[in-house]
Amino acid sequence: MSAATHDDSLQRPRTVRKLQALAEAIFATEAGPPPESRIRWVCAEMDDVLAHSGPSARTLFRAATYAVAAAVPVFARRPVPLERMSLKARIVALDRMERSLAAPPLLAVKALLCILYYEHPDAAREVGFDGGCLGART
Amino acid sequence: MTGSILRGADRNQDLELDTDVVVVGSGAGGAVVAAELAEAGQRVVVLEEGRHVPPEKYAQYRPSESLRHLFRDASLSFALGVGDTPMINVMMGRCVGGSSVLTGGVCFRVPGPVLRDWRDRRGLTELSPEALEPCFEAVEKAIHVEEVPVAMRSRSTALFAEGCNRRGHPLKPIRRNTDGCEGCSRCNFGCPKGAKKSVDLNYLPRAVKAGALIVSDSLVERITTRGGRAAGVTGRLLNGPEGRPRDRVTVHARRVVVAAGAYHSPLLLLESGVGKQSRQVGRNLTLHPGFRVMGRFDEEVRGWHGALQSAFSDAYEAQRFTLVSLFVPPGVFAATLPGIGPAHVARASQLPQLAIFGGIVHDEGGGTVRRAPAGREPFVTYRMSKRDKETVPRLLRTMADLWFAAGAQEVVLPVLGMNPIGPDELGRVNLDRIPGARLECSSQHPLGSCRMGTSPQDSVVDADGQAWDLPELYVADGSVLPSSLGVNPQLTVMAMATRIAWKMRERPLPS
Repeated sequence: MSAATHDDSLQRPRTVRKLQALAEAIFATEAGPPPESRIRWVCAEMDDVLAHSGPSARTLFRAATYAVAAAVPVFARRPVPLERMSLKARIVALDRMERSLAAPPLLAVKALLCILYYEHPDAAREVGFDGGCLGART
Repeated sequence: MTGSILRGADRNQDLELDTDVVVVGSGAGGAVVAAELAEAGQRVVVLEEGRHVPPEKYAQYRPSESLRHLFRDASLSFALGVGDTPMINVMMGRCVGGSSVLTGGVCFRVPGPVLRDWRDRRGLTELSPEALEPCFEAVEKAIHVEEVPVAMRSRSTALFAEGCNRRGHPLKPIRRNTDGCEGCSRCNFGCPKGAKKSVDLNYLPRAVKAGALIVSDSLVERITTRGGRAAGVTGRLLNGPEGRPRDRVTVHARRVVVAAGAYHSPLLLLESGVGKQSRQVGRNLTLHPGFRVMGRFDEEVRGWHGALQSAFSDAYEAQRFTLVSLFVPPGVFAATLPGIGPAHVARASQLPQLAIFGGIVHDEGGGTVRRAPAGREPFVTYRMSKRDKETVPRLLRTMADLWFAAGAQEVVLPVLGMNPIGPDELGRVNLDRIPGARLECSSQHPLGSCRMGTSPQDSVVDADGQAWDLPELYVADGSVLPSSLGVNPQLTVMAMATRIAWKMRERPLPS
């Protein structure tokens, strides 16, 4: 399955780094983050989704991503930027955020990341999904 | 005479057309009006902002690809919750065929009490069951409405039905616009087998066969007027880089029909200066705020095998909510499961054991569509009424109880960050005190923002769908419904559009 590509990415590199850091934390297992290639695939797909959404949706999603990134150090109680925070600290911070009134922007980011992540055949297989009709049939 | 579908994105110059009727929007409302008028011999042009995706391509899309190509804003449209109201994700189509391509195909007629309210309290005596009967009949025949057999229910729905039976309120079968459905649970991303009879498979081909021209990728920006009546529309073709607006599209018409949905119809009217007198345009938006509740079972459920939507319960209408079966792709399931990292992955791994059911609030309104300071999307707010807010915890408690009655080990409520609860915890969770910001809420049924009524003081269009403020401007989509329905509105929207089209046919076109 090839990821969508865009010559002129709509996501700034800073946004991509934040999304990668969030995806690593959300989909981490006890063994660590998911394969790097899968995270890259998710981010490329995200780029394509945003390319097909309107300016307001793009702005909203970027705003949500930055809001989460800004909130993570607060919830982690450490003045360290999201991208440089340890995986464990990111997971703890995001978990606290999800249980707080500040959860809505995290839901927006997590929802879109989840929709894309579990479309990856390996991720779908890992959670026992075998609904072929919900995949693409080229 | 045969019309055609013109891809605005492929055109390299301005487009100027002259016609009898221009229809803005090709969804459940616009497609019906276009077919009914074209078959009556009128020249019809349909302008659709979304692209034209041939139905045979739906099967090639993953759900997220459908979001990109068929949904408005990749499904990132929201109503901003005001006054302890949750942020509501509002899903709408943006393609030839509109949201009808993305529904679960559920078809309800207007519930009797709603119709009585329209007649008795709102004075819309013309909307009697007898008057609407031929409209519903025509639509049901055209889109092949049939009952979903019990055998097509997914295990997820069957389990919920067991819970309902144990509580003494058996589920009822849903009717859908399908023919030859094999039950693969992805109707709402475009039916991969052409079994769901969305308007791109019936009304739009009928319109084209009768001579209508459908122009995709065309964004209507303004309704034009001449001599105090609607006289056409102007806008831009989305043929610039990355689908941005570039060349002009101008349609001169004797009559204008706006059917762009409850978000964009009022926006177009506001942009065109319509409704300044009544100040009702964009107000009274209802959403049917929806909540999904999951049950985890010891057995394998694999709820993706079976019809996406097959059964419902109206047993709680007195409490202002309806329960409707549904299914969602694994990513959407996972998105609403609480937890981050290993906790999230562990719960997502239980996907085959998870069952899901939906509940919608028969809301009183409280939404407003406004022009945004920038961009071409509206700014929408929604303030839940006190009564609707009180309905939400009742709905969640009822659904959780039904899952436990069905034998669920745990229930996942749509409360952000809340761990699944066991049967003995339901009584201890104080759902009445959950802040709106922590509720995960979605809507597929925006309605009422250009509502029909008997006076310009409290409505935007008259009982025939014509705008009070501007002769020869009609609105024919979900935005004209005088109130929310409490059930899926697709069939009602189409029946109302049929009625409006028939009324238009009775009136001679202006010279």
